[in-house]
Amino acid sequence: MNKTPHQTLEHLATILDSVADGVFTVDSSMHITWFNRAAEQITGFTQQEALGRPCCEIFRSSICFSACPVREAMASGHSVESREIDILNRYNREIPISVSASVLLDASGQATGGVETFRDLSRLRALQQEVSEKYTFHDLVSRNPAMRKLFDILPDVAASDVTTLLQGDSGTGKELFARALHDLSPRRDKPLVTINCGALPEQLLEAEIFGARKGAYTGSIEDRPGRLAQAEGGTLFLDEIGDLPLALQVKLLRVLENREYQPLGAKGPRRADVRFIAATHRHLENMVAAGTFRQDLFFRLNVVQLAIPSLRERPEDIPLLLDMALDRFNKHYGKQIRGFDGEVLNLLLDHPYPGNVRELLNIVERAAILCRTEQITVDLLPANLAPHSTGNRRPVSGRPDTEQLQGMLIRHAGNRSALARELGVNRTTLWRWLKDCNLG
Amino acid sequence: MSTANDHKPQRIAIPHYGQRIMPRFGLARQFYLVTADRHKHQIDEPVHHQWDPCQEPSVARWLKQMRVSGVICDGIHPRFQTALKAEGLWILGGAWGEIGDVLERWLNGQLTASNDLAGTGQETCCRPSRSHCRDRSCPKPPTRR
Repeated sequence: MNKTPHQTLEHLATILDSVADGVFTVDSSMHITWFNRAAEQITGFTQQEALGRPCCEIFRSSICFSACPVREAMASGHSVESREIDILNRYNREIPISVSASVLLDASGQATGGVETFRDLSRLRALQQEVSEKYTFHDLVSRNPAMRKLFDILPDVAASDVTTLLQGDSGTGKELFARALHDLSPRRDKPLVTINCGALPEQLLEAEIFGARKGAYTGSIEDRPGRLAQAEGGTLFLDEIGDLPLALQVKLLRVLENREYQPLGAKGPRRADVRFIAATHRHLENMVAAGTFRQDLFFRLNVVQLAIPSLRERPEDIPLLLDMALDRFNKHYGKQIRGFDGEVLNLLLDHPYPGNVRELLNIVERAAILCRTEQITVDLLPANLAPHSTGNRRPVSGRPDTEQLQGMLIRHAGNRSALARELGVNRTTLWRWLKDCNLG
Repeated sequence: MSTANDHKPQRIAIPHYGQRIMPRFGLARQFYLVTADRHKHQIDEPVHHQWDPCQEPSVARWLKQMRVSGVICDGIHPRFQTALKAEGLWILGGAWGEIGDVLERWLNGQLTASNDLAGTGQETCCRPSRSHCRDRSCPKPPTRR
């Protein structure tokens, strides 16, 4: 049975009201001509309020006045798909949505307006937030079982006031662990003082840790409190303890044993009410065996040892860390980068990260600073990233063909040194290959 | 601090696009500033001003510096509500349409300070029915005894 135009419209309205996505249509002057039930629910405006109004006054999106998807679709004739933005609903609540838009054509192919469909992402965002919070512990992010185990015991270790040794490669976040231990401890209201034992020569380091009295050495014109005194009542974090000179190891041992120390040039000892956390990327047991680290100090420090896995031992954390880093640098640099290009993501997931989390953060920060679009693309990655990321992508054996070379050149954003490194040839050979393939 | 219902002359800011109220305060760069006297039912000619987001101060501070007492706007995110209130400005939200009409409605007392100002987390569920709400953070409506 043929339907009348009125029945067809009613049928269409029923269908549109049944879909879970918000749908509205606009005429060529951007006034709303249709507004379905889901659109009412997401925006908070009723159909009656919306019909006839300029769509920007109802939709109230972050891009209404800069990159309206409907205008874009109507101008280009092409659909806009799944753009993630936010709207301000009737009750001034910001709602994340995914929006798509297309141009509406009449029977003769003339544009008569546009249609916009949108999906509420609030629930998805809430779940993402929940996942992120679930795997976050005092600025530390991980879903790795070994790391989760560390997170579990951290509060107990922190409460115990015991000397703790953090062992992990450079860039694994030892300082963040020290911060978490301090923040969870009863000493949290007192200072956390850090000193890098590898950063200063022996004489200066001694004065830096223990302090010096006026006249203790040439140029010492006033009493100078050391880090131990600065950390009084709080925590002293001795970073790179493996680099502490042997002479100072004895002095530190005395503090750990008797809670007493003597500033340079002082006549008598002082008491120290300080909790010690030490960290190193070295294997102190090996150093003890080699005679470069005192065994008694090692045992004093090693009451509780927390071994922090390197990033290559917990690759499942890379996506979490990338998200966290992007979020952090978006906020820091006022950017609105929504994610990583597929190829970039593959490179970042494959990369072995010899510099651990610090290296990952540096890569994302650099890309975020340089990024001018909504997505981080391969040209924003450092040139040395791709060759190292070929763990799964072995160096090409023999000479690649033209197509392969072209693809590699694009992946390296034209950086020939990086491409030469990946191929394991020198730049001259690569130049000859490119010339032979008319790519030079 | 003055209020939207004060009958003494005061300066009002209206974010706009063309001759209509800007639907989202956070996107506003163009403002009409008008001096209005509700007691005499009188409004001076609106003067157009532009705020540059790349320059200090913030929009709230800038409006304060422009000796504005209150803002008539449409949608406004809670963070802007807080910022404006911190500068001692009153806010009339949820006002939409042609600027002349809106000012007329305000002079006639048809716009009130409670007009659709929400989003601060104190309001109840934003959906027509709680069962429709898919936002897990959405506060529940108060239960009746």
